[in-house]
Amino acid sequence: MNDENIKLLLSQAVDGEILSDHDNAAIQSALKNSAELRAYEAQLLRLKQALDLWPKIESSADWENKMDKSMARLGIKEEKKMSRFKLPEVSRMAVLLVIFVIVGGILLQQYAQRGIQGRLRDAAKYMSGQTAELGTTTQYEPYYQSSNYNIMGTQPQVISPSKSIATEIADRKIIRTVDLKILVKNYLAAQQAITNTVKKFDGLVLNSQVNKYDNGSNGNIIFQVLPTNLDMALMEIKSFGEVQSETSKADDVTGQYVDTEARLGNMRTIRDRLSVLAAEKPGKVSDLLEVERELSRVTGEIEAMEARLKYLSQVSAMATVTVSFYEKAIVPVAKGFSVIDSFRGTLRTALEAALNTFNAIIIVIGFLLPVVFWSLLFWGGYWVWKKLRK
Amino acid sequence: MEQSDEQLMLEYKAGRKDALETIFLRYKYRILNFCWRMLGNRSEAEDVSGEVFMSLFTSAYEPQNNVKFSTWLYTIARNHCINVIRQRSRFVNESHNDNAKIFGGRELGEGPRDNLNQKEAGDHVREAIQFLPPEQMQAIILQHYENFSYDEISQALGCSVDKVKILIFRAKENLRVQLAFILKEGQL
Repeated sequence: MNDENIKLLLSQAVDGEILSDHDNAAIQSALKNSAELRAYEAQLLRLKQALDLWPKIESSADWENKMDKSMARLGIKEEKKMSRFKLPEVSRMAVLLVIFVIVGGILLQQYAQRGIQGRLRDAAKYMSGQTAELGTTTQYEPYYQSSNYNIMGTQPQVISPSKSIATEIADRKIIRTVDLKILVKNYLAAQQAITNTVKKFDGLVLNSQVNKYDNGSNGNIIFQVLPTNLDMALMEIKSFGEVQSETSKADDVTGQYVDTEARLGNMRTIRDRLSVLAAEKPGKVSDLLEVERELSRVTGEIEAMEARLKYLSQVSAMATVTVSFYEKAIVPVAKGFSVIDSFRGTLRTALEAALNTFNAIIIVIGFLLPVVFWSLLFWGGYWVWKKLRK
Repeated sequence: MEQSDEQLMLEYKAGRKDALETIFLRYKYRILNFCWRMLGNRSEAEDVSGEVFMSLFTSAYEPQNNVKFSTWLYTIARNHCINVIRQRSRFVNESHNDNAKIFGGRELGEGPRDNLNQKEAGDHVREAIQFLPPEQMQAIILQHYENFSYDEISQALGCSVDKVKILIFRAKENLRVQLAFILKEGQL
């Protein structure tokens, strides 16, 4: 038996085929005598191992589904209750991402819109002079500037000063100004009533003005009153109409007053010395001229300071009040029902709705563009990976 | 006790439709992998194995005396695979008469020699088997991967047992040459 035949038999033996006794004996004899055949047998065994390196594959979910459907169609197997819209993993993730972005976008848009609407509402109220409801006050002022604003919604506590503090406060130089805006029934009657009140409280009308309009006449009065009478006067004026806004301001000028007073004292001392020097008549004419020039300057400064002190005393002695009053504007009564007007209104609303829809579509497209881009990228990568895997 | 394939097919003929599902579960991975090894392409393997099972579901298999059901099923799978292979232009244009000296763009028996990992080695084995002449390829796949005996292979291929012996022997000879760099001592 030649080597070729022995190799053929060896191949069968390695594969586990049952050989005859004669063939087995021939193989044993040949292996015993030939190193080449022994090496050949070892290589066959290694080849057997090497062939196992080619791995098996698992069936894909798509293939399983396809086979299940085929069997269900042929009545071999019951069809699984699966989603009609079952998508590959990547597509499902992309769909979830798109939904997330859309919902997020809508929520963000609504949030932004509410913020803008709130600001617009505040602005509209401010422009129309309407009051905002802030706690129990009916006066409009930005909530963050309001003295009544309290995050807990409670009224601020009134602190009663002690006597010594009250005296100290009375000695202080405080300029008080009040701006009051009231809605009245009759602007002329209001003007008269406010003027009477000012007189009643020993006040002084600085300016009075009325404007007559066909719809919503108004006027304003600026007056001064003693601070001690201010609250009473304001209370009475407020009773003439409905208060729309009120702003009080107090500027403490005590510091300025005291400072000016001190500087005035110094200047007076300098003036007195210079006066003595001028009376003594120094030897040189130039020195005398210099003393008089300085005396003139100091005297000028003293007069300016005295004027300033006088002004501060006056303005702090009286509170200045500006009262704006106006009649309520009459809103034109709506005309009777008109088919054409109604149709126009509907048409306008439809047009606005169409524009809003168009805007919304543009926003959604804007939101989706990056998502679509990444989805396509992932999908492309997945497709390439799938192809490469095959 | 587990029913034989032939018994299940008889029951299917008698009206027990779910018997075919049992057959399918038994053979789905085997047929899929057989097609995968024959074609070397997962997508084609899935398509062809689907066609094989569709043939099984719709054809009238009659248990025969000497042909096992598995042999019959693999014969169908083999025929489907051969059809696909025939459709490939490279099998039309290229000749395997001289075992072609070029293997995957390199000389036979050569290639990346050192530091082969298991996946790379597996790819080389796949390429080497794919490069065998069709009959040798079918014989070695049935024998090694599907654990067919020489007798069963002869039935599946429709040839004599002696020819199967020769086919497998030649296949191994070719693989020994093509995979020489893997079969070297210490590589496995």
